[in-house]
Amino acid sequence: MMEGSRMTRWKSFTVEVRREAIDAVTQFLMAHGSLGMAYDEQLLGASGDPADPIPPPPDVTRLTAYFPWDTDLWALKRSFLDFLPLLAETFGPGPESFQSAAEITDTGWAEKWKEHFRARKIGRRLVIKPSWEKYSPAENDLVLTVDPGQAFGTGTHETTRMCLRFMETLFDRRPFPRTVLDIGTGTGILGIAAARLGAERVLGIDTDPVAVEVAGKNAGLNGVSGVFRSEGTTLSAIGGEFDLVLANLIAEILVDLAAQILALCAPEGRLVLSGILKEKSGWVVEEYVKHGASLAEEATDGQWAALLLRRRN
Amino acid sequence: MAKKIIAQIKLQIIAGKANPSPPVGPALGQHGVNIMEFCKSFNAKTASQEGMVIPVVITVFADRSFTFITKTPPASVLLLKAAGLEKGSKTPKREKCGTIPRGKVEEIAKLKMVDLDVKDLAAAIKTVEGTARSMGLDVV
Repeated sequence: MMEGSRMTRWKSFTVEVRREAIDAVTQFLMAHGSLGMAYDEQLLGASGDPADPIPPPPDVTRLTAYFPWDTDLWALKRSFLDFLPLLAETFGPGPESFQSAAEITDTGWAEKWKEHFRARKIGRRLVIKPSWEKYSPAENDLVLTVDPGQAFGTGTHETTRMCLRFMETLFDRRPFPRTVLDIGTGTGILGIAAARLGAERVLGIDTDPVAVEVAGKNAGLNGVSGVFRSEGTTLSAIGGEFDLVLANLIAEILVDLAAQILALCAPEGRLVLSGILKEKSGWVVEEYVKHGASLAEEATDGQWAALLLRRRN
Repeated sequence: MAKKIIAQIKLQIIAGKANPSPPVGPALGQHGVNIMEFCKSFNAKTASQEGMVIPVVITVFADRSFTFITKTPPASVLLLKAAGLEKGSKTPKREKCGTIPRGKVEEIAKLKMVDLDVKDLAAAIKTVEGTARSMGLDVV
């Protein structure tokens, strides 16, 4: 669509419909010129374990269809009410009903997401900023540019923050880790941070091809393409040992992969494990100790725990 | 990382044609999703089906990143295709737009089984049949 001709006003038409009749109602609305519709919106809010499944949608759902500005809502409503008996005839008596119609204006949807992202200091030195924001770094600040998109990890999540803080500490020491493996790299944020903190070779892996691509792009954005490489490989395909292994996953996967992850960590090397619900951290520590690691430090933030471990010889 | 989900939204939009206007804009904007990023990926993924209405389920995570999956086209779209029609009747109660053989209805029901919230094939057929009749197609 041309920028100049972009519409800024539309009309919306909301109905209630049983699940079996969604396709029929969709057809009706599209035949009347709808641009598309939204339904079954489920807001899960801030609570809940990430492992919890999403509850099933309700039997009767609200469906909001959008129309061009010049649509006659009254005519549409009459037409819809006229359509209802046919629905009842074909699907049996049901809950279908007209709910509301409205005029809507673009309130800057396309840019709204940017409000959620601001430059943010994570540890003592690391600052994460989106690409569109200007940030004047203080001395010693290390600014990472990360844009949110389809891949996970913008640095604002507790689990990422704790990893970054551990990493700051590790890279302040001498000798600091020279080779780094980032398992489940997402946006590449942890691996890129490692590269910026001074690592010489960083490999970020992810099973999601979108993440591999996004991480590669973000590495370029941060000028570390020569150091950070993202790949879609699996753990078992990786050879060698790394001075530092980063894995911001979930407790269950960390435990499943304990032997493999430890095998990729050099003797005396460090492991940063995150994405662990606080009540599960004891379990994760126990499994890693069993496989030859010892706990150096544990951090908690909100409902999350992160672990810094050392691989014993 | 543990991906905490904050919202899930379903949309029916035209394949290959997503843009920041409704329904995409208002549905995703309020959850802080990068709308252009969604449009780009959705259009790339559905380019081969351009023009067809496609249901898409978008999952939004706590850090505002998202994933989406596209589903089979609505039964109505498949029915029109099978009946060789451009569009359904605007006033299906008064005006029939064509006929569809029962065998085709069953075929579509089988294809849609994965995405319909139904217990068995019989229920899927009933849904597809209902959809056909409600859009002015007689099942013969």
